[in-house]
Amino acid sequence: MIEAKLKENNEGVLAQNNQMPVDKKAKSSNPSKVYWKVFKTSPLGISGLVILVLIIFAAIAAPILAPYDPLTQNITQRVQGISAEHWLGTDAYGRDILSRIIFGAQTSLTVGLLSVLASGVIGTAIGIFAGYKGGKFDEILMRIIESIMSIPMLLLGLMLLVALGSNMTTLVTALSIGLVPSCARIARGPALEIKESEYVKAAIASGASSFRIMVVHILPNIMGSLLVVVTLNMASAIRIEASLSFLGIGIQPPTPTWGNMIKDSLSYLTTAPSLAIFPGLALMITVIAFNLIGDTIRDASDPYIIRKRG
Amino acid sequence: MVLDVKNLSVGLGTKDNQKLILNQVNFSVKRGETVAIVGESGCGKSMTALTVMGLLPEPVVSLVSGEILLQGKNLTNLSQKEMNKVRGKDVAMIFQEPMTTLNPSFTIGNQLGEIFKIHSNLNSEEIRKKCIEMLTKVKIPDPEAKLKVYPHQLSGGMRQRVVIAMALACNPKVIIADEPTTALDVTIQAQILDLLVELQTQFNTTVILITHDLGVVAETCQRAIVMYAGQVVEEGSVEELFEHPQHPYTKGLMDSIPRLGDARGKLHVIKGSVPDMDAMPQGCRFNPRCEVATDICRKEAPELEITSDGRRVRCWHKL
Repeated sequence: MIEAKLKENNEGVLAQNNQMPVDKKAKSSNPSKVYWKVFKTSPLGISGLVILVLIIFAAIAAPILAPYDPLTQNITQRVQGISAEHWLGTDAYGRDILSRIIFGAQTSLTVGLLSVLASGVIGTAIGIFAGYKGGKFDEILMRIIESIMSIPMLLLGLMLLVALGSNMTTLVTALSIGLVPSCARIARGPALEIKESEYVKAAIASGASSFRIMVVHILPNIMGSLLVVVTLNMASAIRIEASLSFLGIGIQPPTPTWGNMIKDSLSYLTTAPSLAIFPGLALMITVIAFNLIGDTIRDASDPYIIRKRG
Repeated sequence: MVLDVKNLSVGLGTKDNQKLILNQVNFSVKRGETVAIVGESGCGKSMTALTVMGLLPEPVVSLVSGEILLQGKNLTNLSQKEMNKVRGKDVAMIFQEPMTTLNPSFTIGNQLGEIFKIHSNLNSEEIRKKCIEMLTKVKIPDPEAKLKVYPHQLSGGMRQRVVIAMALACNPKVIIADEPTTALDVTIQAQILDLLVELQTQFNTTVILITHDLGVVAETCQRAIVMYAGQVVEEGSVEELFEHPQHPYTKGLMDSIPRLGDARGKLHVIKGSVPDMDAMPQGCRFNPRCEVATDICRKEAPELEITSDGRRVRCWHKL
């Protein structure tokens, strides 16, 4: 009787054990999946992403999307308000504002992307190299970086554009130089820390060269924070480009940019404020979108926030 | 001889103010042998390992003199680039902390594959196969799935197995294991040591085991080198050292092992501590702590003498 009961008990335990989940396959912690998970749960991040996708789409499909040619002037229809033909009205030369804003997105994104890419690559390389090599290299490189940092980006842009002439290449160069310090400083810190780690020593002990350690071990470890900086840099690049164009030394008319559109609207600010408001809105929304995305990526690289959101 | 270390001296600090942390270290290791380097913290055993690997944290610590001959090739003359080819392929190292020796942001497969990428021309499919083979050799269950796992998803013992697999990947002639089991708990420690000994016989590799755990030495090594304050003080087969230590320091170490059965009373200790580099005692470096020290010990430093075949002692009053 007792034996039977014991047996029953044992079987019960066994059955229970069998139902236990058999060591689920280790959960994949692929970083891109983590990012996506955080984005999914963040309404702000998602809206930033949606806006960005729309802007990129508008920029790429500008020739198809824009109802009018952005450069065609029509003096008879100058400074008009919102209407069925011109959704956002026309400017002082009778050009369609909506079309100009859509084409302006091309300029803004191109300038932003190029300068962010260039500064990202150069800045990261400098930062990692300075941090890893240390000593004299570090001292010299970081003093150069600091001296660049001490010049406001707008001023740097002004100087270079005035000295070398206003064109796209100079503009991108100026912005790239201005953005290098942020990337270099972000890259240097972790490089300093990681080069002391045991796994770097182990990598050296297994025959890895300095270059390999910088690229294979250090770079991926700073990708997260670098992505945040690069996204936020994109916002500043677009903002500075607009400021320079607004000052009349950035991208030259007639090429539409949001900055020079706002500048052109200045004389009509009291009579037709829509001329300034719409490109201003476009600029604002774009900058906010990049900031929202940057913030969300930062959250995604913060383990505490990930844990809190489950 | 696979590895021959001759008159190795390593200094701390700049040229004008240099303190020798390794002083004329000599030893050689035969192929397929397991040799222990033992001594208390700060005696220079890890420094010896780093010097052999060419991993001294220069310019703070640098090689002063000496030769490291790996199968006749002097490693001290090699450039960084040439040394990179030796490290991992001819000499590999197992570090103490399996938690930190693996890069947390990469999968096991990725890190193990790195070694093959550096030292061989295999394509990615061949590397994958090699990785699985290595993981099977170190007895990691389900090796194929483990390739995609990150270090934090493995236990300490499993991680150390991965580290051992990485060290063995290119079938090196010499493996230097710097306290490979110190960070693990005792049961895992035994497993890892068994594995190390088994793989060593299988690959016919030479292992230099750096440890302060004499139990580990007795269990795994054939020969042991005892170091004190940057010098070799005694060398001999493990049996001889355990049965008849000739140097008072070795004897002190042996007496300090707690034994089952004599639990009563205080444990034996060697009085005092390792002397400071700045205040190295005159004469024998061990004399202030030595129970049998006499005047000569305080005045003149003894030489490392060969007492019998394969046995060396640095003492005026051999026990």
